[in-house]
Order: sequence, then C-alpha cells, then structure tokens
Amino acid sequence: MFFQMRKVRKTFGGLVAVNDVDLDVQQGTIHAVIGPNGAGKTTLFNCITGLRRADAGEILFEGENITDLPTHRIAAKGIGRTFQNIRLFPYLSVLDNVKVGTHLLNPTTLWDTALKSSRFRKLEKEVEDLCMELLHQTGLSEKKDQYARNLPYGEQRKLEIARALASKPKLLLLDEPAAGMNPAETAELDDFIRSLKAKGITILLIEHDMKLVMSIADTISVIDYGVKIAEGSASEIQSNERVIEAYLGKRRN
Amino acid sequence: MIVQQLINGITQGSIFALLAISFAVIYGVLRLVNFATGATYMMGAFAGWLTVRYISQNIFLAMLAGLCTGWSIGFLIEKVAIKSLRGVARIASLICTIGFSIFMIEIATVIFGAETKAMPSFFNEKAFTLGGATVVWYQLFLIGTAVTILLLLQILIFKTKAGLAIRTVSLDFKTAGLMGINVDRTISLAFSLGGATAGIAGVLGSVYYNIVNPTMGNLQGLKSFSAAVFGGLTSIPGAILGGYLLAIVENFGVQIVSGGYRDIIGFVILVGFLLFRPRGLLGKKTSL
Amino acid sequence: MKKLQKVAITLGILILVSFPYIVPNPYLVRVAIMCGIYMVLASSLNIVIGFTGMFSLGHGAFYGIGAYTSALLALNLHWPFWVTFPLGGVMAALFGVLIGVATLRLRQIFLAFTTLGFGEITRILILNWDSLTRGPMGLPGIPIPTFFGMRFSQVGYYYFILLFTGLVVLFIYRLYHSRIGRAFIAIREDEVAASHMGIHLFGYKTLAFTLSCAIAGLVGAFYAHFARFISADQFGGNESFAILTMVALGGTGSIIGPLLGAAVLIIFPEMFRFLAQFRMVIYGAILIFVIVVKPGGIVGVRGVFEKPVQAIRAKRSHQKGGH
Repeated sequence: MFFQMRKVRKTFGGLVAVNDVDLDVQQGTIHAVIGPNGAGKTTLFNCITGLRRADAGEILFEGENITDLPTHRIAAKGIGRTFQNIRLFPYLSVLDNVKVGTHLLNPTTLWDTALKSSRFRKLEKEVEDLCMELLHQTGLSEKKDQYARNLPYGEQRKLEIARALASKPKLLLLDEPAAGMNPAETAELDDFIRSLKAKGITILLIEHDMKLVMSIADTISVIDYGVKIAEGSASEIQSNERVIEAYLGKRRN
Repeated sequence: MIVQQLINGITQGSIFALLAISFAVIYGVLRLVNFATGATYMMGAFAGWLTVRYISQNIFLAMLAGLCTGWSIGFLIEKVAIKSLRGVARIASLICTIGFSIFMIEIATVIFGAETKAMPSFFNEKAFTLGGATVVWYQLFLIGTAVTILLLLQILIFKTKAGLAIRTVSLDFKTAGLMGINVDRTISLAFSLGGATAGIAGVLGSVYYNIVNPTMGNLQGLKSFSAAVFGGLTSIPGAILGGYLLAIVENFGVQIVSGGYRDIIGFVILVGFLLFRPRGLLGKKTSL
Repeated sequence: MKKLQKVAITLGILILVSFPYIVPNPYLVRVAIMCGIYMVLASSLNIVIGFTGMFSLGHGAFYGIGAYTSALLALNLHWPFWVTFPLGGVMAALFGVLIGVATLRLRQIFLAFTTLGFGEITRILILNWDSLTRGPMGLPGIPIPTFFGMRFSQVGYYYFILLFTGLVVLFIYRLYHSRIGRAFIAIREDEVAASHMGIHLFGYKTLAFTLSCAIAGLVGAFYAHFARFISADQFGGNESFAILTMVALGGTGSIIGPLLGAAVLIIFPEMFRFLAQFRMVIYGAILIFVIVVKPGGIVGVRGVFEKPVQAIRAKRSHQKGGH
C-alpha cells in the first residue's frame, strides 16, 4: 500500500479532532477528504506532515512508519503540502519561494557556496530551470521577481502549489486549493490537478468545492466530528445516507 | 555560617523575586521579555536616591518614588515598543526595549556620572542573632516588604477583575479580545505593574547593597531572568521560587567557587535549565 | 549584472585600494580600518538577525573570544598570526555551537537573553581568570603579524582588513543567493512552511549562528593584533549593542545595510568628538527611533519585522469580504 493511516487519533484537551481514522490512498489516484467545517480534516493533514503528533495510531508511507518523524524528515520522504491559510514566504520573490521548495533536491554544500564552485553553478542552474518551468505551468513566470505577498489571492494559492511541486513529491497534500478562487480559476485548477495525476503524482485533497471534488476525485472519504463516516467513488458518496445527514442535518421523522 | 548564608540568600532572593515577577507578568501576557527591566530597576534606585538626598530621609517616600518612576517607565515602554509596533514582528519590540535599556543606562551615566553613590542605610540596627548569624532590621524590612508586594500582586492577579484580564490574555490573546477584554489596556497594565515592581526593587536593592550607579541593574536583570526561567517563566509562583532559590544557591555556591565567579552561577543554571528543562520548575509545558 | 553596477563596483574597489595613497593620513587610515572591522561584525550579526530572524545580543563576546584566543596563543605559545587568526574563529564558533544547541530549539527570546548573559559571563571570566588573561590589566604587547618576514605596517593592516571585509561580503552575498541562504530566509519568514520544505530548522539555525560567531571571532583575532592591547571592557555589552545598532540603522536583512550602518556609526562619532560622552545615549535613541519610524533601517528588507501569517490572513479576509 502506498499511503496508509491506521487508527490515527488526535485530541486537543477534551476535543477529539481525529478519531481512530483509517485511510488508504492508492498510488496514482486523486483522493479527496471532505466534511463539514471543523470536522478535523486539516488536523489530519497536520498529523501526516508531523506538524502535530498523532496521539495514537500509525501512518505508513511506502511501507515505512512515518508517524513520529519530524516534519522535515517527512518532507524528505516525498510528501509535499499546501496550507489552508496559505503560508508563503511573503518577503521572498515568487521565484525564490519556489526555489526554497527545491531544498531537498539540491545537495549544494557550504563549500560549494563559498567558492562558487562549478557544481554550485550547475546546481543553481538546474534549480532555476526547474522553478521557471513550474512558474510557466502555473502561469506565474511574468511575476517571478515580485514579492510573494503582493500576488492576488488566487495566484498565492497557485504559487503555493508550485512551491510544493518543486520538491518533486510523490504524495501531494492540497488543503482547500480552490478556496477563494473564482469559477474560471477553479476550472483551471481542475485541469492542473489532473495534469499532476497524469505525471504520476498521488494527490490527497481537502476541498469544500463539491463540483471540483466530484469532478476529479477517484476516491472520496467523508469525515465528520473526526470520524470517517463514508468512503467511495463520487456517485457512491452522493447517495450515501450518512453523508447527507452530516451535511444537511438529521431528517425529521 | 550556614544560617547567615541562608538569611543573606533570602534577603537577596526577595530582590530577585520582585524582578523575576516583573519579567513573568510581562512574559505572561505577551510572550515577550522586557530587556529594560534591569535599567528600570536602576532608575527606581536613582529615584529613591534623589528622594532621600534632596527631599526627605524617608524610605517609604523613596519607595514611592521608585514605584512611580518604574510605573511611568513601564507605561512609556509599552506605548513606544509595543503599542506603536502592532502588526510588526516581535523582534522589533525586543530591539526597542533594548534601545530603552541602553538609553536609560547611558542617560543616567551622563546625568549622575558613572561612579557609585552611597545610599544611606535604614534600620541598620541588629535585630537578633540566630545560630551565630546576625540579622539586621533592614533585612527583615526588605523581606517583609517584598513578601507584602508579592502577596498584593497575587491578590491583584488572582482576585481582581484586572487580574482576571491579565490571566485571560496570557492564556489566549485573541480569544480574550473576542470576549470583550480590553487587550491593549491589559498589556499596558502588565508593563506598568512590571515597571513598578522593578522600580521598588531598585530602591530596596540600593539600600541593601548600599550602591547606586548606572550599571547596577545589568547583572540584577540578567540574574533575575535566569531565576524566572529557573522557576518557570510562565508561572508567577515559579518566578518567585526561582528568585529565592537562585539567591540561596548563589550564596552557598560562593563557598565552593571563588567570589569573582559568583555572578556566573545564575547563568550556568539558566543554560542547564534551557538544555534539560526549559519550562522551569513550575512552568507549564506549553509553548516555550 | 548590469553594466553600470559593474562600473560602480570596479570604481569603488579602485578607490578603496588606493585610499592609503590618496589620503596618506595615519588617523584616517586608522578610522578606515575600524570601519572595516565593524562592517565585518555588523555583517556577521546580520546573518543571525537579518537573514534567519533570530536575535543575538552577545556578538561582542564572540568578537572578544576570537581576540583573546589569538592574542593568548601568540603571546604564550608564540604561534604566528596566520595560525592564531583562524583559531580565533574556530574558538568563537565552538562557543557559538554550545550556546546555539542550548537555546535554538526554544523561542527566539531565549537565544536573546542567553547571548546577553553569555556576553556578561565572558567579560566576568576574562576579568577573574588572572593567571591566563591578566584580569583587569588586559593583554599588552600582542605581536605584529608578519607577511613573508615583513612586519605589517599600518597600510598592511589596511589591506588585510580590506581584503577580509571584501571576502566576508562576497561570502555573504553568495550565501544569500544560495540554497543555504534561502533556507535561512525561509526560516525567518515562516518556520512552519520552511520545515515542510524539508528544512531542518534546528540545524540551519545552528549553522547560521555558528557562521556568524566564527566570522566575529576571526575579525576579533585581527583586532587583537591590530590594537596590540586588549582588555575585557572592549568586548562587553556596549560593544554588542553598538553592533546591533549598526545593523538596525543600516538595514536589517540586506547585504549593504550593515556596511552602511557600521560606516555611519564609526565615522559620525569621529566627526563629532564633542558628543563622545553621549555616544551610547545616541545609540540607544537611534535603536528606538529606527525601529519605531523605519523598522527596516536605511535600506533594509521589511520582511524581518513582518508577521507573515497574519499579514496574509488579513489580506484573505479582506478579499473574501470580511470572513
């Protein structure tokens, strides 16, 4: 199994944010996690990337237990992510933001840097090319020298994805990538995420835009009050009683 | 001998405890260290010295002068270093409090000169001897005053509405604001209280050590911060405990290492605690 | 690089190289050497404060450790300057690692206070360790470095520090535009995001702090052999604060800023000698004034003083119409 969560639990004080959740993500698929606000979806992501420690349970990535690894080590295993509330490096240029994303691919040492060795030049060139390529794909190449903070909201979201892609992740976690985007931008995002799948990147996605989710997700897991209440394809989820209850409230008899 | 060290330790510990509280109150509400605490202590001492010299040989009046000076300085620092720097990273506020510290120390040097001034002694008669140790009335007075102030602060923080605001803001800044607590005023109050405590400590300390000079607060400030970390920077009882323990350890430590290295003891404890138990003896585990 | 920039840099280098001959005034050359020393100190502190967003208040102590290490090795063991100079940097770096390991996992305030305390402790140790440091009497008669058997003249010192400052600035420039420098700045901008890019926060913070200490130690070693007399009070708290003021005034986070700040704060007091007793008062006032009025200093990057996450959140809620 490519990515697995086994009975992962996370509590804050008395609140159980993630309650014994099991999750299997197949390689090469787009897997969406949906659920009402405050259902514990972002906490789930935070446990995966090590920002929060799971209280119980196991997280396995490519057969390896990553539950207790520190964040930077988990990133090094090939898991990239974006954030619900966008965390760019606001006073770095757009290009430099993406370059930071290549941190793990770049073996430049302090000596290379100090001496500006040929290796340093070669690696910087590769980084530059890779990042420009990503900026072209996300349509940000024109703005490469601007401070990230000066981009409009939708472009900040795109930049965050580009930055996450720069580390060439095997699994990409997207936390509400369509939030704040207009319908045209969301349609673009739809295509873009499909193109990532075509390149073999597995995607785990939190999203509130149901149209987007139903359109691109191969598998959908529904979480409510920290518990996984349903899982299946788009059509299965749409007709699931418990899901409808969770979203619309219990039907009165 | 042991009793004497213990009594000296408790006396000095009272001064450390007051300064440690000053750090803890401000750290509590803002997670910020006021680097000008030692300098405020010094300014309080000078206010006391001026009072005694030019107005009246009255220690209570001197303490009042120290309190008012400290309060005003705390208030001013908050206005400039915190309030005007809203929305700017905390590091700017830190640099600003350092600016205040340098400014106060140096302006005192320019006005009063760098040489040490003598503070007249108060209640310097022997009170009693205990196990071969001499205790003077002033030591009792200092300890008593410090304990009174610490108790008053405890009451203020745990029993009054303003104290409730301080505690709420220390728990969660944003929620406190949402719950209708005036966060700005609470922060300002914490700084003023911290300043006032440091100012009084300055007067008490200057009489005890019989020293008033512009750099008198530097080491006191550093050591008291170590004491606060020692006891737990997020806990007010912890800071008090840290103050007393540090002074006692220092007094006994001097028996082992030579006197010149006395001032290093606190620092060694600080680094030790930061390495192995950063939350201190009584501090909460969260967010260091 | 643009052509104009190249011409300006070449011209600047030419002027600096010919300076002792254009202005053959020992006093002015001395001021220039001091400028160089403080440019290096301010630039190295800027790696910690400006790039990585950490806060060190004991830079003077690491400068002093370099000075005392080199001086003591030269005086007691008669080792040549070319050996003791790098060892000054190594020693300062070792202490830097120690302080870094103790504090860099915690909030930045702890680094600030621990380094402040460390500065004070270093001064006390130097004053009390009579048998090694001669305590308050200081260390006189530190040997003049030789270069192929020739002793440094004042112009020799000038060229040495000119070259050294140039190399340090070049190194920092390359660092700034490298993977390592980007990691430093990413940590300053947003630690959480940085760790998700695979940046080992503790490792890179320790690296930044150690580099900064090492450079301060090196220039301290040079200073010892230039002044030929050192004592504890030359490396105390005021020294650290002066360096901090240079960085803040010139521009935290930029490469040129600290150079500018150092030049201004070295040359200005020389021009207004009658203000000498107010020197530190003015430093304090500058520190408050610069931070309140223009937190980035003369040419600084404002990002050092920005709360990154809040800034973006505010923007977002604005666009969403106030959620």
